[in-house]
Amino acid sequence: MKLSFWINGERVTLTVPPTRSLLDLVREDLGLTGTKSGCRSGECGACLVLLDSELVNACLVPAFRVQGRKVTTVEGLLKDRFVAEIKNRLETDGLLQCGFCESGILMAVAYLLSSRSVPTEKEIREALSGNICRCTGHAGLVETVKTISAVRRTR
Amino acid sequence: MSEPPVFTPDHLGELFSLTATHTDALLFAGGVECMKRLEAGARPARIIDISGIDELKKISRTERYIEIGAALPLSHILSIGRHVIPRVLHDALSSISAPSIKNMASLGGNICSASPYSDSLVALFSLEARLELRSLSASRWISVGRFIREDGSTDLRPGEVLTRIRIPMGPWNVQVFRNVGASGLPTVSSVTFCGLARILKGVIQDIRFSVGSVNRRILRDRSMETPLIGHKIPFGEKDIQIVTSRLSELLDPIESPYTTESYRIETSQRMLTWFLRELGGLLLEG
Amino acid sequence: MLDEFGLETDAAIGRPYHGLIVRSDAASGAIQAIHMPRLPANTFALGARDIPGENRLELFGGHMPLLADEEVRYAGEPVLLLAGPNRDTLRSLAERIRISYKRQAPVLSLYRNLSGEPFELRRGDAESALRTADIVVEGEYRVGLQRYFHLRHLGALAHWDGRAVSVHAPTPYPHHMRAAVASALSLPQKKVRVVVSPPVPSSSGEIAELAVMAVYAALLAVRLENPVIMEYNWSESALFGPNRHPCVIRHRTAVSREGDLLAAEVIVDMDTGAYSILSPLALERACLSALGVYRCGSFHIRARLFNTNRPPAFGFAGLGEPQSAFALEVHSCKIADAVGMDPAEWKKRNLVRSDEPYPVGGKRSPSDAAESILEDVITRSDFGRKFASYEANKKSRTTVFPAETPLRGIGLSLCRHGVGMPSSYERTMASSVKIVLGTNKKLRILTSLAGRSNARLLTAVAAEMLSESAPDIAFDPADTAAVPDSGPDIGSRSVIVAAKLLADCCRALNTKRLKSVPPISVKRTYRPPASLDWAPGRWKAGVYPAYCWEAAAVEVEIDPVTLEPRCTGVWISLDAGRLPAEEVALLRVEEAAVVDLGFATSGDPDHPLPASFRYPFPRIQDIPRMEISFVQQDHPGAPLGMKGLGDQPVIGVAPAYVAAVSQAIGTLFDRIPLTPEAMQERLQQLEENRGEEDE
Repeated sequence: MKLSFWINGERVTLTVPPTRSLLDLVREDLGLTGTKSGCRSGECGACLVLLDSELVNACLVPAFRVQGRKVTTVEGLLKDRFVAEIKNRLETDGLLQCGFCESGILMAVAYLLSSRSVPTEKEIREALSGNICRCTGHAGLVETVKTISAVRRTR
Repeated sequence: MSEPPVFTPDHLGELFSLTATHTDALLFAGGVECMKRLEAGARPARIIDISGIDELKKISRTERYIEIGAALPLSHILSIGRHVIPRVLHDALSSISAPSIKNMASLGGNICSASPYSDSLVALFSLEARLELRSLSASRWISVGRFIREDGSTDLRPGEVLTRIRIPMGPWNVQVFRNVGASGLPTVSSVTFCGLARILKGVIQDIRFSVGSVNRRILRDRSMETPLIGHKIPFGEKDIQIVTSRLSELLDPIESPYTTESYRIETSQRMLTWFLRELGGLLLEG
Repeated sequence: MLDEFGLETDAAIGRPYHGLIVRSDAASGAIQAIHMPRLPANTFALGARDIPGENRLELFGGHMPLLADEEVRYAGEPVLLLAGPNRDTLRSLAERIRISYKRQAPVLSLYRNLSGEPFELRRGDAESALRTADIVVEGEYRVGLQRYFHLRHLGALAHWDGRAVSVHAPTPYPHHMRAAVASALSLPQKKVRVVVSPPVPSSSGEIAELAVMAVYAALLAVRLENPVIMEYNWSESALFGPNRHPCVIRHRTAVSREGDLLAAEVIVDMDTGAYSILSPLALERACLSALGVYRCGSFHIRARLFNTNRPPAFGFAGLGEPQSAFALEVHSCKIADAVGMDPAEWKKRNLVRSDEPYPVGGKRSPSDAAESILEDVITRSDFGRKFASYEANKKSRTTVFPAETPLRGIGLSLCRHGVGMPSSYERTMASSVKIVLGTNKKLRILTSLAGRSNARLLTAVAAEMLSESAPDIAFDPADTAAVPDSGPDIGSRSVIVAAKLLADCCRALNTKRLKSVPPISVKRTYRPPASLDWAPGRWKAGVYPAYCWEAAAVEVEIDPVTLEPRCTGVWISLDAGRLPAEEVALLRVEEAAVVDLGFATSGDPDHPLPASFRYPFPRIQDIPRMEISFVQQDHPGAPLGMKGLGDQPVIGVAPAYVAAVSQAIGTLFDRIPLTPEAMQERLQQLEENRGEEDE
């Protein structure tokens, strides 16, 4: 099918099979490898993207669902200075090892903070409940998100 | 490998014409279940994307019931709030973790998949939800308990689409939803329980409970419930035992790689016993 | 495609083809015939007979075939490789390949097929002591199969330019990978180059798994004359990737009435799956930790490997120590109970003292802070009071449901981890680090252990050693063509070997600069000190350059309806020597503790191959609060007083958890994973036994 949509603010048109997943489309057809291919079944959160500002798992979204819509991947999100700062902080404070989960976690955190400026610990944990990080124990991550949201509020 | 054609109707009339002609089509609402099947190798002849049909995403509330469009994402249902949709349904839907999944999955998708592990179904069985099924030429309502058969198949006829779910509001002053994770597996439960009661001046006016993730189909049996109506709480141990014995006769666990038969049977019974013993303490305020 | 997360390798060499493994569906049998469909152009199939060199992978004393040749020994064993431009085409092709087998009944139980020689350690006459002892405590402990579950796809990219092969992979041991590829392709090692593509998992199991994938990718790249990526997907990684050796450990211990450990018999039986790859190392380590940190006069330890028709256990974090620690620490609860002591008191009484010899493994170093960490955990968790209180509850209770008192318990553990590898292995490796001080005052560090977190550590060491004249420090890329072999990045070797060598290099540099001008280069090679010459019989000899110590307490409360335990507290105290960055260590320990808790609570108890599986570790909303602290004492002989940067796995949480659940329920559990289902089964058994007694 001929698929036309917005990716990180730019319009693109591709010819793809209609059931091709948004994940493969973004990584292989558009070369945006920030979004990761993990479990490919919606359980790990490595492939999170925004579809018209709603957080979704790209592995579960077929190409035909994307027609005319706005997709934001982690590359697009990082254009925002605040989000870039979150990434920075997460790298120095919260996430250390393989970094595979990083983009998914960044998307989930940005999504949370877009609707909740000072989330509680419970809300942070819930927001990240769809993300698997195999390398860290998460307490540092939760602390970092709390700190970031506090800092942002004072601006 | 050939790709199936995809239809994208934008109103119900168009949808029903399509389903009348193409009874083998795979209906994509949230797509969570569907994409997993495609990734596993399924090759449907046709796909109909119903996510663009506004009539399937409405939600409305009267005093007596709430009506939810079958294609409305769960996160939208939840955003209505715990005091507007029945509390047990809210708790059941909240227990599905991952905000992204809740943005995609729909109640219609859950019901039509008829999974034995579905959290929403356990609540819908107790709430006695009714489902609207429509096709080009007909329209009918059916209770969820009749829609999903004992063997786990559904009563969905060729050409039919699940369009609305109507849930009576109660009133219930005890609403309990409990979900036991199958050891460390958050997406699959080993036992799910929903209990509802209406108690006035210490007397049971009505009581319902359903057990999920054990049998092939959500277990709910009125013959366990009706004998309790009119009783005073707290129940005597003997009365509770009569109910739990009946439950053990009805439990027929399916094979599961995640948990054991005896665990599910014993835990279901303990869960029900706990519910019946604790009724007084579970009364909701207001 | 180098994205800003630095995870992809550079594909400027051309769009790689994909590799796919065609696996056996027979668990045991002879391969009779392979029926291939017609292959499209640019698609290639490769079997055992097509391997130009050796069809064999070797690692740490074990070996396995790369591809099944005449027989298969586990369901999932690789038989053929396919490669081509399109993954979906490969998948359909794979479905049409028919392999027929003369099937045999698979051996799935332990004890049938002994693999190699049993490992035996004997000192004094344990048998007599056991016969004449006042009190003998017996137990059998089981650790089930545990899978690692990588999130990212592990894989390798290989490229052949007509003369040489280059491989990109996130390997902790690039020089081993180079040797493996060279051997399979029948090429001299200088024609093979391995570039480490970070981030690198620092665990032993991945070494073998990645080496296999690198060999596969290289074989295919050479035949196809196109770069090839070989990756595991999520399910392959879970089913056939690294898994911990399932183990049965039996203890028979003679104890005095006062609680002193007098003599011990231990039998360690490990399931190595179809092939034994690095299992001899795991077995040796399990043996060395069988009696852990407790004084014991006479002992007889036997350790055996058994083959079964299951995927080979590649092993991971801890490699043998976690299994032993689990058995010993749970058994010590049984002992404490038998002599009427609280476990903390028992441990303090029997703990090897400073400068005293362990039963096996040398003397306890005066700089090991064992008493401090134990006391720290006991105090912070309020162990003594809680243990007594929960013990009283347990004794007074008659039923679990309804519970007359809350079902609570607390457990304690104390373990040590060998840092680095046993000296016998180090001696065969000749690991080196090189530095070069350039004319522009830049210092280049050349080591194959250049992972992200290692870089931080090594930079700190170099900066400290070169003090005010601190030049710009940079790492040469971990490329076998450019850097020396520093050995595998496991068990904190980055600290105990690489950092030490780096410090030696810097010291030498400081001297050389007084006399020469840059460029100056220094290289140092690791030789374990002569005192670390352990072998069976040489009881006083050391094995490891250092031990890290870990004390853990876990408190649980069990829901009487669902039998689900909830951790109400986890306290861990560690001695890893001096920590240059405590926050860093904290995060790593936390992760390791979560993993250990996951192993204790979920997994495949009888390890069948599941039809589908789910991620078994606690997710963010299930992770309990953990209070982790470090006792920092300088370790002599290591740069900056470090031992292991909290790089060690956490192995004490699992036994402490099991002890806590045991106290809460009222019966000693002796296996992991310990699930509500297992608790249910035990409770039913107890009911039945009680019923029989009453009759």
